[in-house]
Amino acid sequence: MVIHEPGDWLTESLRGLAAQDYAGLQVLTLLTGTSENAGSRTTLDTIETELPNAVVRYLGSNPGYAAACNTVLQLVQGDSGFFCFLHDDVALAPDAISRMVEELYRSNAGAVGPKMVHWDNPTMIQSVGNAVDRFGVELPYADDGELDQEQHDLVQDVFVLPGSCLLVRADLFRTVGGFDSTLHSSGNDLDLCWRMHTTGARVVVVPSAVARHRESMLERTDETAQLTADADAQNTRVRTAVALSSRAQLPFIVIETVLLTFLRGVLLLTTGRTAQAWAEVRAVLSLPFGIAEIKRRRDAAHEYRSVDGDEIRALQLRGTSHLASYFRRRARKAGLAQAQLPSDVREAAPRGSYVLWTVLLLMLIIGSRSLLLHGSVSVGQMVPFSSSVRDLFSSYTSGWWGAGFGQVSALPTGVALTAVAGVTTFGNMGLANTMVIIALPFIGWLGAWRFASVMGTRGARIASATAYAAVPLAYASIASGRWGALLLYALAPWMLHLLRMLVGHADINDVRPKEAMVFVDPAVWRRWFAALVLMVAVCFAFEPAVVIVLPFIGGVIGLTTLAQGLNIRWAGRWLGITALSVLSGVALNLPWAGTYVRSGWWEAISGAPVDSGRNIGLWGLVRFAVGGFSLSILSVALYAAVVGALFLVRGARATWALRGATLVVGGLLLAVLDDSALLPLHLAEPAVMLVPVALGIAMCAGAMGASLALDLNRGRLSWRQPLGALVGIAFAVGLFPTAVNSINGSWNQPSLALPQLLAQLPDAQTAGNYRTLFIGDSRVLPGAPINFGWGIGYSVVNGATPSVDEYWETPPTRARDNAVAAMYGIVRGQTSRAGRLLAPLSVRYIVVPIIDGGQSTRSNPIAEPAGLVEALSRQLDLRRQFASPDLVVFENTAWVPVRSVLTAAGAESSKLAGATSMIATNIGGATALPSVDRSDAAASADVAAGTVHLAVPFTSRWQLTVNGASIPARPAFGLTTAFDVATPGPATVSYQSTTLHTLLVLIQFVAWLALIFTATSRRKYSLRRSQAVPAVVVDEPAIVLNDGGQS
Amino acid sequence: MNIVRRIIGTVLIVAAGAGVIAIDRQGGATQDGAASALVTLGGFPQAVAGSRISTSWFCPGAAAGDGLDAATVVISNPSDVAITASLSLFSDAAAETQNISIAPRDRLSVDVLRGRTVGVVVPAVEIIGGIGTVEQQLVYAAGDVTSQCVSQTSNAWYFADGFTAEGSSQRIVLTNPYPESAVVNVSYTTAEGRRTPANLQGVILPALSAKSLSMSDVGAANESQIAVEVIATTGQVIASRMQHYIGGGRLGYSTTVGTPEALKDWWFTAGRTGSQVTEQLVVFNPSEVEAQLNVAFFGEGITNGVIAETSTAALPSEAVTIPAGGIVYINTDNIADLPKGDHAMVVSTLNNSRVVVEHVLSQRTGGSSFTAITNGIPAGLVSTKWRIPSGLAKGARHALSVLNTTATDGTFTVSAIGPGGLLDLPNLVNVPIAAASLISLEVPEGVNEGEVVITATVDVAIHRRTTRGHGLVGFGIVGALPVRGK
Repeated sequence: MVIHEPGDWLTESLRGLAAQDYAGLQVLTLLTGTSENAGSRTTLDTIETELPNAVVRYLGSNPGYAAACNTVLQLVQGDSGFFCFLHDDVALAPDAISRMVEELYRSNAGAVGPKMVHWDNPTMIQSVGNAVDRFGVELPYADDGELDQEQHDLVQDVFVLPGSCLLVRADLFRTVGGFDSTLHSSGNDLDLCWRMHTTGARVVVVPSAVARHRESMLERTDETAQLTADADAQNTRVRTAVALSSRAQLPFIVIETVLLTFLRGVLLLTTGRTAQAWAEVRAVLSLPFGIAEIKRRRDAAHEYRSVDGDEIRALQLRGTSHLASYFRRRARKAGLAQAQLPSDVREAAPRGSYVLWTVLLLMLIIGSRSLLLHGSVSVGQMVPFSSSVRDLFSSYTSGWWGAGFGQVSALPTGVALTAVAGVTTFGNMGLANTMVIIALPFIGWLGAWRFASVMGTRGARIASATAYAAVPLAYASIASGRWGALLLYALAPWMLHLLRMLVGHADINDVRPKEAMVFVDPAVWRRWFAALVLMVAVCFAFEPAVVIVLPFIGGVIGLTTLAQGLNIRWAGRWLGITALSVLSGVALNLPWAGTYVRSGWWEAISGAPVDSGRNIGLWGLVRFAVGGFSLSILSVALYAAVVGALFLVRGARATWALRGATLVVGGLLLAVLDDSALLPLHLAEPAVMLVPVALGIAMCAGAMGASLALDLNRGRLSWRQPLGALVGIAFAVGLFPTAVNSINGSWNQPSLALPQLLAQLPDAQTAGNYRTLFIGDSRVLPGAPINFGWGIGYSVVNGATPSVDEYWETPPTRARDNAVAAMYGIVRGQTSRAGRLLAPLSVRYIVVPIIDGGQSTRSNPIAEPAGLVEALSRQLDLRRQFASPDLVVFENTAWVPVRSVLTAAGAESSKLAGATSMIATNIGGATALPSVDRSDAAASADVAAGTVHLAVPFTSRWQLTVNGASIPARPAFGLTTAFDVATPGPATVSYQSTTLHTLLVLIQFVAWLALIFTATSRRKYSLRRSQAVPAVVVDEPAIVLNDGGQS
Repeated sequence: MNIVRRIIGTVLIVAAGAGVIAIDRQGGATQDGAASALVTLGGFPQAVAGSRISTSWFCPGAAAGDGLDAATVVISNPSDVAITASLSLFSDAAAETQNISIAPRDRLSVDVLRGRTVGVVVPAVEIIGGIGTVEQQLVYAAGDVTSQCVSQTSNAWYFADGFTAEGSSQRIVLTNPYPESAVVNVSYTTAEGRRTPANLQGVILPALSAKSLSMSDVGAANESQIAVEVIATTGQVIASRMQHYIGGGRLGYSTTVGTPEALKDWWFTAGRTGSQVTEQLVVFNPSEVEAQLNVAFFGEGITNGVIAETSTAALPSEAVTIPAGGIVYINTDNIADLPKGDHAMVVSTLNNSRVVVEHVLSQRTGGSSFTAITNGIPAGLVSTKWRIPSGLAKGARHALSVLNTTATDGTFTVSAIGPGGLLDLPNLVNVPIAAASLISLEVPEGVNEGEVVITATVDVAIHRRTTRGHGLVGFGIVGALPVRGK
């Protein structure tokens, strides 16, 4: 018996042992700690009183149950007896040992166990052993708490017996090496029994032997520790299944485990069991990290394995334990339902959840089938992930941001996160792109479902998730290629959910008429906050406007909370926690986030404004008309939920209904004001600003869902019922458009978008790397448009189409200023030689997009700024390459490649600065150096004597070596970088990263890891394992088994 | 939640919703876009005030094959620092370029023929900044010619007058300064009507090149009335005319850039009537509708060489009808009661139609004669400040004709650029000029070779007269450059 922190039950347990009728019983009590420990004396006295013949040994510490049991390998000599391992809270019936020994002989078993019953109520069964499927998932033969009606009183083979009371043949125990003390306690019995099966030994439950089990350990375990234990048990289970399966079964079991876990994860998430989903997924994900441990265990088992895998498999449950468990629960509930009286509460059945998620998943798959089969169309911000994972990581760590005209700067965190997304698809970036697009709406729906848990009913969750999925915002964002809006749509409900938990809003309970606020345990609070910060950080990494939207949401709900009469402290918590999370999320994006500390930061965050207002109009905004979406007029019916929530929802849920309605109205108010350019500051694009509106609708729908299920059914017949029915009908109408739009298969993404039209432009291989300047209405510009004024925006990309790192606005540089001056010359008629001003910056093409396929379509085009094409036509160095109703392309005949050897005239001109040097001389005709795929990549070529020019802002970080000698860099044209090469020879151009940048990236990486650990770890730092100290090893045996007798 | 709070909250939300609807009725402001880059009347000769990154100047060009003694572009730099310019020469061969530096407060003449004896060469000057101005000067035995250059290309050019009678020659020179080919349709109208020869349709102008069309060679030989219309269907071009009169009542040589658009009002300030003078206003109506116009004259009461105290405008002429696509020659001799001597004119359409008008003045002096031809000044370009890059030609009589185009009395000051910078000329500071009156000035004392600037307190229109050189009688008429604010 292993005794650890015993309670008053110990006496009863010892008396059980003392009363055993088995003659050869010798008792070895193993006490954790030492004799110096507090309470040790009392325990010793109890043992001496109840079991004066028992051998007592101190373990010196608490090595864990398995390691404690294994001390018998040293403390007990001889192989001819049995070991019966006991918890200190197990009280055996007087004949339990003798019955188990009898049965062991009778069945020729290797291990037997008793029928475990509840300590306080022995008529309730606790365990009669478990079946196990091939994944190691256990399925008890009897449900915990099942009334003992002798229905399990049949001796039978089981796969695993609880370790709390287990009788094992001593020789067998020694053969298999005892318990695996490195495993978590909750998986140890499975491991031991499975290993005994591999030796051919039977494991049998003996129901005639009865043991009462108090499960005192559970009482001593708090919720967090229990979650940690569950996660560890999953880890142990998965590794045990992999470690103990035969070699032939191994590949299949790994693949099956991965697939099953994925399916389980989705199922668990959809039913709100996120902790368990994460525990199971993490167990599988951590498999590669446990390879060494698995190999050790396989090698050990190989030593005594005498039964092949198929025979073991025959002992296991066919199919999965989860499925068997589900059918058993279903059957039991059916029985219970028959037995119960009709309830006055019609809570949505679990079936409703499954139906909802099945429908949503099907809709998502059907609606995205074209994306799945052919990939996403590159429209709007949804640029293809054309760079490899390696290139993205290399760029990120280099400190050279090649976007625009390039600069020494930290790259956006989003670049690294994109690379991480690529890792999850094993480097298939196209697949990563598609999967992210498809997954984001689903994540949003899950978030709405999760958030609605505050309403306290499943009906609320169903209604909330349904409403959020029915809002056209996500699909319109996919159609128009708005990454930022889609990401915010996905994460906003999660962030709101975490915020409300951090603030302290408890789930609404029908017992309480008022909204309850609670203080959360600091450890849990820290974990939630870390998760929130992570989400804000990810959002900010791709859509910096989250710093506008989230404070708006937090502010609106905080103020509404205050208006609803709650203590100002709670309202303050909304504002404070929101602000803190936003600041922390931004900080997590350092050093890149530091580039926003500059003039023009607001536009960099909120995106290029449309000076004249977007003029979508209220009607367009309420329909979420930010992209292609058919029948959006019917989607307006979803607002019925808002109206209904205001008038129908009662009780504590009414507070959330009001908050949701305020979000809707407040969000629309801001969107309309910005749409008409009536605000002193412009806001983010409407697709982003409408996210709070979508959230508000989902919130109101959730409140309505709960209300319909509870309030209305309980009320007397009044105006509420007809109004509720009307709201329900209107809401159902609002669902129709989304279903119809899913038929399209690509969520109305255009078949032809701007990048495809630009395919006619040459690649860099043809004449060297070049840049393209897009100029026009900022809504149709690819990359990161910057407002120029007079209703004109511009963006610069390397090559013809933007790459991943060109999604974010770069800080201003002299090169950009020069380009702006050139554009000013074009737009304001200040020069007809803008082409020459842009030539040193390698701007080869100037494109005026008119139809981008996303926000501007042929049926609803956004006209190019007045006079722009004609103004460009008047430029003396621009050649009109292509003109159509979709776009106009001009080629700058004076351009030079990004890396080139200048002509003699160009070299001479490059020694001067300012417009004079650029306009007076046509520097065209430079010889391109070999093109590169990555802007910071090194390149080598033979160069002639002359001037090597890099069309990047001047920096000595770029280096040129010719014949092994370093050539000093000098400014060219007063803004770019040049090297004067005196003698021809092999040359290499390379970028030298800084140690400081590397250090900053490292710090950022560590910060992210730390936060991820904090957000996901349920482990308490005072874990038993971390405290584990090897058990005291004694030389002298405490007990000697008689070779001829039975002990 | 308290029921009162709930009601208040609901009412507030409904009110906010109503506010949203109300706000939605507010519209956004419209934006300029790049419209300001498209300067109204930008294809006419003019200078701009304020800073610019660079300014292009496209000159009419020179026909080397006509036996010119010299052809130059004159680049004036009135500023206190040297400026840099890039000269491009377009011809049927590859374009040539040359960088030039012009000293402060100086002007520079740069040869454009460079030994050519055949073909045409068209100079274009790119000046860094917006200070410098450019004109073209030809030295020719048939009379020296000063021509204005323009800063903007156009897809349409018109020439109201043309003359190939009795051996006279007329060339239309088409210049494409862009790096892509342009396609041009050329048509002309004679006394017999409008013609669109097939070989003049779809004329391809290669990038960075100039092409000369002899009107005699394209079917308009021996015509005393030729109005030419150049329309670029692809790209934009510069069209200029080189006219050599050697008979039919005309004698002389002129080069000019065409008129880029038809307008409703045209000002001329260097008109003259007399016994040996034939003055014509050539009106071409390129539109599809009939135009009606009249001519108003200014100058009664002016004594040559003396500044009059008052002046009044003559009554307008009777309405003249110009058929669609037709040419009408208005001979001022036929205008009743028009006093002999110098006068100014404004040609205005009456039915909102738009026409192109040129002024042709032929005069016999002694045993010789000369013909001066000039384009009108658009009403939209009358200005309070004018620049004359190549200065005033010494020896020219009535060298400067200043017309107050307003109904308000004003003053004007004449200044000249010299080594000391811009200096007001003695006796020409704050010269009063009555409403709607014309003042003609001789070349003032103290004028050097530099640029001349006229600044007025009211909008004025200015033409100048240039000498023909080589001891030839008569004069040429050239406009000045109105300075437009940006």
